[in-house]
Amino acid sequence: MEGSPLFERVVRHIGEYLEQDVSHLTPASRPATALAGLDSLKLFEMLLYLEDCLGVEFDDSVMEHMETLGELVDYVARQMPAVKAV
Amino acid sequence: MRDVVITGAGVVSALGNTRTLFVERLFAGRSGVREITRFDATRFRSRLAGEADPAGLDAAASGAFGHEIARMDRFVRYSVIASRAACTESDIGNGHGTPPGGVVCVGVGMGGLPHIENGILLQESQGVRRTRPYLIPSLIPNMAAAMISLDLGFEGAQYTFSSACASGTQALGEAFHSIRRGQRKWALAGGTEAVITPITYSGFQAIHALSCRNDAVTPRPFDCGRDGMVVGEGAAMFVLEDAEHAAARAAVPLGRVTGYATTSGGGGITLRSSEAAGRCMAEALEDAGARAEDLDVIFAQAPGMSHDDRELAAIRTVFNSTRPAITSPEGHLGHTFAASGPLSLAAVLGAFERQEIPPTLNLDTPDVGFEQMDLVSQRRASRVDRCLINSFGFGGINASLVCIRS
Repeated sequence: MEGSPLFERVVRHIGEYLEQDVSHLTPASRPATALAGLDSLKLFEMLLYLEDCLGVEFDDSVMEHMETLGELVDYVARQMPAVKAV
Repeated sequence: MRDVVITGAGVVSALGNTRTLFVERLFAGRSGVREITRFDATRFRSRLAGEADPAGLDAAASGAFGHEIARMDRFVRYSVIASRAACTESDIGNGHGTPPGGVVCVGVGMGGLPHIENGILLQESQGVRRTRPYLIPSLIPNMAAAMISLDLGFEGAQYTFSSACASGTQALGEAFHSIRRGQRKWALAGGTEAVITPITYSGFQAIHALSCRNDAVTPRPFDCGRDGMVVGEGAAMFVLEDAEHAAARAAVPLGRVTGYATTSGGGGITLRSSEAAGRCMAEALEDAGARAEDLDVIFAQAPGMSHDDRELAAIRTVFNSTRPAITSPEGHLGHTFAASGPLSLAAVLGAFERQEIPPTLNLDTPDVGFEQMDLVSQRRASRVDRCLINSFGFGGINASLVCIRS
């Protein structure tokens, strides 16, 4: 997945939102620990930002797909059927 | 009992966002009241506001919690800016943590009314799921004290006082008392308010509280031609300190707080009671160990509303024949609600430094029956050693603070 257009796009938008260097992120990165200062408010606002950027709508199950960044990108891909995650 | 000194002050106001600018423009008689810029006000009878000077306000969104501060409603951002300035002047808590024994006390009247209004509009126009995650934290009144504490890395007690227009003076007074009785060594205290938003104008228009003149000479505290208040906003925060604590670190006192009282009692939610207001002033003087004749200047609340005369009647009862000078900064600023008492304290510090009394802007002809009182309509050179500040809030809440020159 790493290097896939969707993964790179998601990571780019996360960096834009947090206004920090996120080049260390990999599909195995856990957002809760890999992203400095990501409390619940920032997390939910970041998801809204990703929705806006990617043109998708996440449902409540998104939180079940946040263990790793790879899971999140897979979830995003399922919301964007025209886009392949890998 | 401990002596309490003021060692730092910070201001956000329609006259400028440093204490120096605020004082210069206040004494020069400049008005901060202008046409509203934040929304189209043509549907309201009042189209003026004392909007805070925008210069430097973006700087609030900096530091370790800059992301969060940027998402807070204005009352929080203003309080953070004012607190940083107060701490810088006092040289306390700047990047190296705060000393032990402190307390943060902030008065907030209406909290994040603009964000509440915008949140409702967004929900109804774009749907529930577009509500921003920061909505609730951005508007709850305690978030001013909370963000100040987070921003400073402050780890002591924090309190929020919500008592309408008396909020800021109560915050200052309670902080003062806690230091005087030895419970605290220092405090960061004051008030903040920012509610220039359509629903505020609807609400105050419904009770005919707003000036409808929409000219360059309103609001008019104590003037017989006054027709209501203008909505203002701002924040003023102060470092109060045990005098020995301040001396030990060579902090320079800007003034002393010596007395405070707060009382209840009114003729209704909005009807001011001269008796209760007078009792509050008398108790504040007693708390300071001062006599009525010791007082030089009263910084009245007087937003330019019909009940300004109730405050004058109370002053006349308490001070009888001593005739202290009376002024109000609300002609310059509009009514700043929870910030009004703290902004008056910033004006008091300026009066101590300059040995001058600032004018009551737009006061031309005193209200009938009060011509014999010493209402200051022009800037005046004068001995200013002892001042009293008044604040009165909806619900019959009164607060008075006594300060003396260092």
